[in-house]
Amino acid sequence: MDVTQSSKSPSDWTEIDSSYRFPTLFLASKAVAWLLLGSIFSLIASIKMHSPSFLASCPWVTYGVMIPAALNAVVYGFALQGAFAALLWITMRLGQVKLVGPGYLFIGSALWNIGVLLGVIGIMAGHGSGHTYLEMPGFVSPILFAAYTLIGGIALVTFHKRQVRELYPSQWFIFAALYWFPWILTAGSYLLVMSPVRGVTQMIIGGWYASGLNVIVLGFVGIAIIQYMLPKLTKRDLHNGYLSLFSFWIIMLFGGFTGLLPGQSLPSWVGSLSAVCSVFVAFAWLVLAYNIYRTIGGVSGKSGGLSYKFIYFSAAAGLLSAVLTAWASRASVADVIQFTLFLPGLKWLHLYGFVGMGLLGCIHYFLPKITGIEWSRPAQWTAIFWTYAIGTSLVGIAFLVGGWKHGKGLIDPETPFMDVVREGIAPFVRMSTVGELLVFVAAALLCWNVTTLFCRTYCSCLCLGGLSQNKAGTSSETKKSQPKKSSKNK
Amino acid sequence: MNQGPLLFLSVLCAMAASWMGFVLMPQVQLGNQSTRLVKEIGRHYPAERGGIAVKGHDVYRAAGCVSCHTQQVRQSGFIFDIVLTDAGDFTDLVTSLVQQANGDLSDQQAADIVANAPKTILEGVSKQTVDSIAFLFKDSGGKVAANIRPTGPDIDRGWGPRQTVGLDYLFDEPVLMGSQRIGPDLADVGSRLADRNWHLLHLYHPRTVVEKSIMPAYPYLFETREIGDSPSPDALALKGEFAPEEGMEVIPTPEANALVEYLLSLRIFHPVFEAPYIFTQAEPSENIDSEMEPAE
Repeated sequence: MDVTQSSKSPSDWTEIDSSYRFPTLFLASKAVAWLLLGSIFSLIASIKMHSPSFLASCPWVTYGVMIPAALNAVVYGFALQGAFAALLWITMRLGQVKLVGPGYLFIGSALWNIGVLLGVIGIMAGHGSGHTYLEMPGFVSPILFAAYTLIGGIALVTFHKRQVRELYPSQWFIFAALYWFPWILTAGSYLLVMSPVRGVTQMIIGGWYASGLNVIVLGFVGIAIIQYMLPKLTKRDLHNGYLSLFSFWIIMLFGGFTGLLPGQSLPSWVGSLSAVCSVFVAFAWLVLAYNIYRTIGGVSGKSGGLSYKFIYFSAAAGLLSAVLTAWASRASVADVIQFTLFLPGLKWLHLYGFVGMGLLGCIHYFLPKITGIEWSRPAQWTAIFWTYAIGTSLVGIAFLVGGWKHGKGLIDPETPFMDVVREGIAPFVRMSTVGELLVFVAAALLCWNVTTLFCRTYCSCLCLGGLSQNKAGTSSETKKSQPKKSSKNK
Repeated sequence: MNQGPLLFLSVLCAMAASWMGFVLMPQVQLGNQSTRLVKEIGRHYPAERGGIAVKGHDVYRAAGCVSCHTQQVRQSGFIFDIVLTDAGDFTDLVTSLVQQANGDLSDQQAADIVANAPKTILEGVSKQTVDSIAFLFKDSGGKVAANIRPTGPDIDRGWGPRQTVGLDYLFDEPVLMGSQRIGPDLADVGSRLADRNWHLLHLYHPRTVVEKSIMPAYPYLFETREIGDSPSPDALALKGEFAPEEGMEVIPTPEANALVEYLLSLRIFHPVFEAPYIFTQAEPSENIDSEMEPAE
């Protein structure tokens, strides 16, 4: 699975990277801005859990709309947008090809942001649909779909025009995610929001959409990042491509069926099928983890730099969330954790821990490469890593442990409900507020750093009189890191 | 896997499989579900929600109540109550059988049961016991019946008499079953808490009726205005720290009234084929959870 041609000269790489300079800066800076907004929303929601009178008189920020607004801002604004940025970069790098149609990509990403903004405002104004992950009002889906057609189309054309024909495992995952997303977006929003099906079928389709989005689309981009970045950062080859192929197939076949717990008011085969499939996915993740472990085993974390820490955390969170999801789908466990904070805990672990961390690691690594400008304050990035990692872990642990206690209280009819709230929810929500505050700090720092880099790149381009001259100007900087890349130009 | 077309085909197959499994199959199984005649009540169930409750459902959706409240009752199993419905002609034999069925009964109690049938012989027994007792009474002339009682923590909490099933949500649009119980389940809240004023006070400021509630207040569903010529009959009866200023009153907006109407319409009082239970007319204001009792 090794792609070791070093046919490209450093200047070719600079050309490839610079073709992507402004689109990616745009995508990345908007993605982190959405992360910041999402973290503000979840912080407000979290504070409301222990001070219910906080901002009570305003319908736009009531708890019930802050939760979906935060989720949608983070999923569509941050995770998916960041995923587009990362997958385009990986596609270009692995295919050794310049970005096709940066202008269309720019239009697509602008449209995407308009769509997400309208969607989040719609939710806050009380036009949310009530279906988790598809809360945005119906009119937003066509906008998102049009935007995606441009972004995904460009990714596919770039993929198609690749110079290196042989495919690296990350490319399978990215390719599958690219095809999967428009499929679930159209089917999901049509069947749930625009022309809704009747009765509980809505819940099942909602579960199908959620698992497709989380496990397949975002999950695959996350896995692609891990499989691309870890070997790259440790300068090793991926241990075994066939193990990757196995995980790819298993997760793709069964990942779309996870996420609906047994014990809900749905036909019982739904929960059982979902439980079995979750176990398959967890097994595929274990295989994936083994493969990664064999790849990076024995490498000291320091040699990979800060990006390595980001990706490593992301891989660990991904594995943990897959294993916990499988464990939680056992009927005896599902009885306890159903309807509790455990489920948002899993969501956090997956979305912020696995996908988010991977995206941040990617952004940290590739933005300086693409712009040719190093981060001005590396120490701030260390701070971002630690605050984000600690914050995410705190929220995850608080929700998972709290969820277990919450559930144990719920299934014991002798415990009055108010005691469940007092002992199973309140203390853990307080703990999660601290975590969310840390994530907010990390997001704010991140936003500041990426925006500064954006401005500096823009200014340097202006000073040097446009992009063409800028290439020459930055190549001296970029060259330093080139030999490494070209010897292992994956 | 190193060729684009092969990769495309495999992704397409996997996508089609997941679509068929979780979109097509449920739609084939449940898409044609329609209302059903329930013998116990002689009416079709479920009935479409009418009046301002429809608008209330919309307010419920817009305020995101589903973020904290589920509308699904879980059930872990059944237990049975055995009732002697008819003593028949051989009362002595049946009395001894009754005693055999429930060893705790004295001669006098067993005789009472036989004399006053229909009467309950045994409570809370398993299906096997039901079968063996039915076998016992076979050919004795006495007739026994088993009443079904669903069990489970949700049912013991008084959150509903039976589990909720797909049929219950037939006319909900969107279906807001929820996945979080930060607050109690609302599938049967209309039976549990039938007092309109309680709901209005609770929405205006949850802590007026439930001490230490963490539910957010919804003051924007109410209008605080000056008292006109005479106090409005709709004004909330607020006391103490929650009362509005002197000369002001708090009136529910149409949204608040609609939401309360919707909450009151959430009731489970029909047994259905998938979730049977003994049918007794729901008696509102019983089974009130302790946490729901008004704070003093």
